[in-house]
This record gives sequence, C-alpha cells and structure tokens, in this order.
Amino acid sequence: MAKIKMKRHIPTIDMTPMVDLGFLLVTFFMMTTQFQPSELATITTPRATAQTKLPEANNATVVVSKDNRVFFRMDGTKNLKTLGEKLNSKYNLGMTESDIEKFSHKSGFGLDLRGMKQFLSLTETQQKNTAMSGIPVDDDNNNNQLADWIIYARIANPDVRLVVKGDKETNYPVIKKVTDTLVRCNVNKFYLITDTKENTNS
Amino acid sequence: MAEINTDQKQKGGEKGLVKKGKKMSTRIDMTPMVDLAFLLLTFFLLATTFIKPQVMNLILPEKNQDNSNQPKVNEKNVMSIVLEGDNKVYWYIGLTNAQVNETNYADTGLRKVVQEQSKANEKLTILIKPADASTYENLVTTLDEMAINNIQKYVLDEYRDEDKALIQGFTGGVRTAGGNS
Repeated sequence: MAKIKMKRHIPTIDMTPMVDLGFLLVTFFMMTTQFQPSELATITTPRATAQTKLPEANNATVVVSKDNRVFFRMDGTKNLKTLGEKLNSKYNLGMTESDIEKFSHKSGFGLDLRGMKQFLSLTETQQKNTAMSGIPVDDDNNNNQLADWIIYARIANPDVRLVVKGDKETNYPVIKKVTDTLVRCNVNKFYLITDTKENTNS
Repeated sequence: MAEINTDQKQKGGEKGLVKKGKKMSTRIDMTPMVDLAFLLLTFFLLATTFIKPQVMNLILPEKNQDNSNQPKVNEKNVMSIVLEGDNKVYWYIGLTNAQVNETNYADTGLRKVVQEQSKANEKLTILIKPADASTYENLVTTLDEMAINNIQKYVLDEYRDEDKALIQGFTGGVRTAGGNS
C-alpha cells in the first residue's frame, strides 16, 4: 500500500474576526470615553445606601472639600464658554476671547473670580501648583460668588443638574451655606454624591 | 502588484502549463496590528470612567419669607433628631418638656429608633437638626436612614436655641421635668 502522505497542518488561525472585533471595541470605547476630570481636592464621600446613578452629562457639581473650600465644576465646553462670558461681564473681569477659550477647557474652578484672569494666564503646570482658595460663599459680606456660578450655569445650560459632592468630614455650616445658596437660586432639588454601602436592613 | 501578476501570467503562458506559478500569499502578518488594537482597547477600557457616582436626592423647601403660611403640626407628632458633634445623636418627641434620648448612627441605634417611632405614630414628622459641630457624613447618614425606613415626612431644619437648651439639660445630667418615663 502506498504511504498516505499526511497533509501538513500549518498552525495558523484566521485572525480577521478577532481583529474586527478588536477594532470595533476600540472604536466604541474611543467614542464613549469621557476622561475623568482631574481631582480638585481629595474628597471622600460619605457612605449611603442610595442606588441611583448619576447620569453622565449635564451636571454641575459643587465640590466641598474637607478644609471647607468650595469648588465648581461643569461639563460641556460650550456651556462653560457661555458661563465664562456671563461671569466676565457681570464681574468686569476683563477676560479676552482667548481667556474665555481657556476657561471653557478647565475641568473645575475654586478661586475668587477676581483672580480668574490672572489664573488663566498661567501655564498648565503653574495652574496646578497654584493653591485654590475656594469660591467665596460669604453671604455676610455680600460676596456669594457661588450663587452667580449657579445662576449663570443654569442660564448656560437650562437642563443642568446640580450635584453636591462633599467630603464626609466637612463641617455642617459650610454645607448649609452651599445648600442655602442653592435654594436661594431656586434649586430646590439637587443630588448628593455618596459612596456605596450595603443595606444591612432586612 | 498588478504588474507582477501579469508577469506571472505571461510566464505561465510561455511555458504552456496549466499549473500556475507559485501564488504570492495575500496574507499579511496581522500580529502587530492586533497588538496595537488590543493595546488601545486596554487603554480606553481603563481610561473610561466606569463607576458612575451614586447619588442621593435631596429636596429642600423654598425659602418662605412669610411664616404665617406654614402648616401647624401638633408637637406630639414631631420627632426631632439633633445631630451633634463627635458623632452624637439625640432625639426627642415634641419640644415642651421633651425627654431627650441619646442614640448613635449604628444600625441598632438611629434606625431602630426611627423604625419604632414611625410605627408607633403614623402622623410622625421628623425634623433633622444638624448642629454646627456635626459633619456632612452625619447628615448624609441620617438622610439615608430616612430613605431606608421609607419616611416620607422629614424636614431638614435648623438647630435652634431651644434644642441647644434641651441637649444641654440632658448632657448636664439633668432630665427635663415632666418627661414621661
């Protein structure tokens, strides 16, 4: 009998479907990714059993840090641009077109508006090294800038959702100032960011 | 490529053989591309903000300049929870001659109290009064207890002098007179 020559198998696999899938996923993630905004301050949110998830877009966050500083953060470059323009004209900040452009690319603010122009003129690294003093929320001295941030944020984006992100060790008076400001700006419904906690109640 | 192909065909024609010349493999080594694709995939996977933060709803009443319009509630139906500094919680029913009780934020503390009191009195309205010394965490924990126990009627109230006096009377070791025990 003649020897049957075994057909040699070449150990290759068709990688095309895998590559297809790979690139599909890459495209998907590229489109949907929203990069985490840089941390303004280290915030440890208090734990609660709330299960509601915060939608990704249309948020304006008031961040309150442990050392009682108040920050403001909003998404959407276009909205921030409108916000910048409004604040500029209200406070006569003298910001130029390019300043506002820079303003619209910032992920968060935590300083007196009067120092905004000077802050924006700094380089990225200098900005990072600048200690943010927090937005003034002082009702007594008639210097509640947070109220203006909130009002103009709502003008810039009427669908905006106000979110409070406070550190668990923040003193209550600061939180009260923030919530009072929100109520004064006719924001009666807002959200508090919390951390997960198992509900031990059966 | 096209030129090479025609070349090969001509060669084949010259020889007059049916057997084609050795075909150039059209396969390309896709390994580097796959490597890159998965590298990118991993990067975007990691960079994506996967964890959407969890939120708790808070609805505050409008600031009312006119106090006369406020609804009047029988003080027997009012339970005050006072959040003090150092993670201390005090609670009492009513205001005049109220008996102050101390509790804590544990599951067996505040939650039990709220459960019992809301079961005992259906008309119960809870006032949360955070003192200046309390922290944000205390407030959120208390609000969370309201959500857990499904309390509909609760208000975030102000810490007033009356409350301060009551708490001081309690912590000073003096029980307020008339408290039913």
